[in-house]
Order: sequence, then C-alpha cells, then structure tokens
Amino acid sequence: MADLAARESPPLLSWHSGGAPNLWHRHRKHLQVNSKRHKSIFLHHDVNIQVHHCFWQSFTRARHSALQSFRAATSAALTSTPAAATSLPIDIAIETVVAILVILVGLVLGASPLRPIQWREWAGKIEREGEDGFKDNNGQVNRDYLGNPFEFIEGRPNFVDIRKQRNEFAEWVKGQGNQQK
Amino acid sequence: MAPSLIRSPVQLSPAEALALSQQAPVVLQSSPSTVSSSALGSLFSAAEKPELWIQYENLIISCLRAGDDRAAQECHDRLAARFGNNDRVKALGGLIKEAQAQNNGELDKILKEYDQMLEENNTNLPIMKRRIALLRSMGRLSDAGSALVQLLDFSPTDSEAWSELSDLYFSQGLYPQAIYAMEEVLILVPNAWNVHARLGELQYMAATASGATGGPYQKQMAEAIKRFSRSIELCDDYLRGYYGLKLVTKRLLKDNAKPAKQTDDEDFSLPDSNTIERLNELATAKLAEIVRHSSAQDRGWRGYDAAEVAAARELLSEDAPSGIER
Repeated sequence: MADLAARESPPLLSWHSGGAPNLWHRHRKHLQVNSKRHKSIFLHHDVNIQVHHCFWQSFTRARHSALQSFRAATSAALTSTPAAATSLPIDIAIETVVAILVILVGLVLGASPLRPIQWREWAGKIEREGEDGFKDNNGQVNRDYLGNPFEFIEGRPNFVDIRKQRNEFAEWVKGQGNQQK
Repeated sequence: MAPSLIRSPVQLSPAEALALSQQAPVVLQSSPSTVSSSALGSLFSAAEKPELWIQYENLIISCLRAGDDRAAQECHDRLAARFGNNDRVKALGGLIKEAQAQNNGELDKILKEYDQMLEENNTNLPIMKRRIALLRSMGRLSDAGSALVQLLDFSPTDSEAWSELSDLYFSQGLYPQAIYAMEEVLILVPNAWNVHARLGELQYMAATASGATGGPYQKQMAEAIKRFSRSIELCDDYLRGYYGLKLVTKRLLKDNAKPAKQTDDEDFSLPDSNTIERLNELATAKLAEIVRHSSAQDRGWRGYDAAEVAAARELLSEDAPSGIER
C-alpha cells in the first residue's frame, strides 16, 4: 500500500502546475469535503504520510456515511456548512463526556492525599501525626518525609559526642538487664 | 516500628538506636558492596540512590552507639570506596576511632590527627566540627569554645555551629551568651518552630535562674512569652510551645507581678495580667486537648513523644483544683 501511495502522490510542484493524476484528484477532493483543515498539513508532508491517507480514507468514509445517515435521520440539509460537517452524533458526545468524567474521578480518587500548603498546618501535621500523616495509599511513608526539617539544629549530628552516647547506651542496656532479673 | 534510616539518629532513645543498629546487617546485605563512581561502570551496576549514603552515615552513628563497631566500619569502608578520602568520610572515620578509644592517650592521638589535617586546610568543616566535639567530650570547654568561635568566624552561616555554641554556653550557665547564639540561629532559619521554642526555654531559664524578680526578669519573661507564642504561630498544636507558654504564664500569674513601669523600650514590657490570664487559659485548653487525644491514641494524634505528653499531663495536674484537668 505504501508503494501505491508513493506512486500516486505527485511532487508538490507538479500539483501546483496542474499535472496531478486522476486518483490523487479524487483523493484530494474527498479530503476537501471531509476535513478542510487537514489540507495544509497534507500539502507539507511527504510520502510516508500517504500510507495513513489510505487508512484515513476508509475510516473517514465509514464516519462520513454514519454522519450522512445521521443527517438524513434528522432531515438536515446535505449541503451544509463545514461547521455542521464536523459536528458529532450525540451518542459519541455523551460517550466522550462520560469517559472524561470517569477518568477524572479515577485520577482524583487514585491520587495520594493532598498535603497542607500553609506552613503552620504542615508543621502542625508533622508534630501531631508524625509519620502517620505522610503515608501514601499503600501505607508507605513518603520518601521525602524527613520529620521536622530543623531537627538537626538541636540534634547537631556533626558535633555528636559519641563516647557519651555510647556510655548512656551501655547504662540503658544494664538497666534493661536489671529490670528483667 | 523502627524510625526511618534517612533521619538523623542523634536524638533517638537508646531503644530506637538499638532497633536501627539491628537493621544494619539487612541494609548492608541488600545494597551492593561497591558502587562504581565512573560513568561507564554505572551503566553495568545497580542504580545508585542518594538515600543509601545518608543511610550509611546514620547507621554508623547508631551502630557505634549500640556497640556494633564492625557494621559501622563496614559502612565507613563502603563510603570510602565510593567517595574516596574526602573530608566528610574522614570525619566519620575519626568518629569511629573516637568511639573505640579506650583512654585519654588515644583520644589525644586522635586530636593530633585532627590538628594535622587542619594544618593542611584550616577551613575543613567536618574535621573542625569533630575536633570541637572531641574537645568538649574531653572536658576542655574553653578550648572547644574558642575553636567554635574561630569556626564561626569563617563560616558565620552555619546554624548547626551557632546552636552548638549556644549549648556550650548554656552548659556553663552563661545564659546571655547562649541566648545571643540562639538568636543568631533564628536569623538564619527564622521559620524553625523548634528554635523559637528553644529560645523561649532559654529565656525562661535565664529569668528564673537568678531568683530575682526585677527588671531583667520581667524583660526575659516577656521575651519568653513572645518566643513561645511565635512557635505556636508557626506550628499548629505544638506541644512544646504550649507547654512553655503555660509554664511562663503560670509563673507570672503566681508572682502576681504588676508590669513594671513602662520602661524606655516598649518592645519588652510584659502584657497586662488580663492577656496573660487568657494566654494561660488557651495553653491549658490546648494542652488538655493534646493530652486527651494522645493518650486515647486517636487517629492523627500519634506523632507526639510519650515523655512530652506525660510531662504535659503532670503540668496540668498541678492545677487540678481549678478543675480544668480531665
């Protein structure tokens, strides 16, 4: 099909000089009826696009006939304006709106809980709820949760007196041992 | 549940430190022993996560605390394999040596090593901080103080160092200096609610230490009220802030102190007794709420430290006759 399309598509110059083959003409005419706004795009694209033309054509025909029958049913004029040609049947419109709503509801429900944007609320949440307040839907604590970000100012990890902490720990272990006895 | 390995383990209780150090074998086993630092090597090895290196650093501290020197050394070796002999890794190596030192002679040796490294580069922050911590640990407080001042001379935006200086002065009973250093921290991080509360505590201790109820006492108490109020403003339901506010207002009400005549600086005069009364009521109500929810383990109130809640309950029970305690 690609070969066929490539053979059929004329160079742009010859199109403008009026040397277009018949098939191209028909193709072109059909496009003009169905989607005027595609004209400029197609004029500026090369051979590969023509493959899509074939698919596009068959799809458009089906769509067009559906539109025609719909128009007939609503007894609209066949020689309507381009605006009428692009209007969609009501069932497709409803389907689209419902699908968008479902997607939106799904996105909203599936998102992780919102975080406070006010400083004091956010800080209060850290103090009041701790890790519990910063879990996602799977119950995992957020990776960027660090507790109070200013804790280090009082903790001072770079100045840690490790010998004192070690002794305190040893005392604590002894205390635990005595309690168990 | 053990606390997160990403957070600094310095302020944890011994039980929590033990739980963390027990995670060391799992972490060491689950992560690759070497991570290549070259671009080519990283194509073939597992992806490198920045959290891993923070975990290693924190594990070193927890493991040293719990006496698991082998795991600490392993973490350090991995950091050294990845980052080479950089200053931060060297400081962690020094930390391990300090923890393992048996006597003062060995500590002196470590101190000399630090001095040597500082001779090569006298603005080496991690080593400088280790040296100060070691001096303080050995009881040479004035040396530690002058080294700290020297550090702040070339790095005046180091909030951790200002806080250390404040703590050093505080441990020597030099309240005005401790308050000054803490105010410097506040200039660097004006939104830190815990620093506001800490400053309020320092003001309160400075005011009550002398036992006098003169001009400086009232000025410091007024400052303390302001600091605690600011910490509450920055953080909803801040137990520490409300505790401090309650403590200060209670004492002022007990003193039944009339505000001293409006002195030259309006900023530091005490509010009238009506306002103090209302602040006291607010703090009492809030503390009662926090204690109630927290002891019932209500959802969304489980972040408080159990010891802090117990202290708040005790403070509330002191004015039980007034019928507010629940």
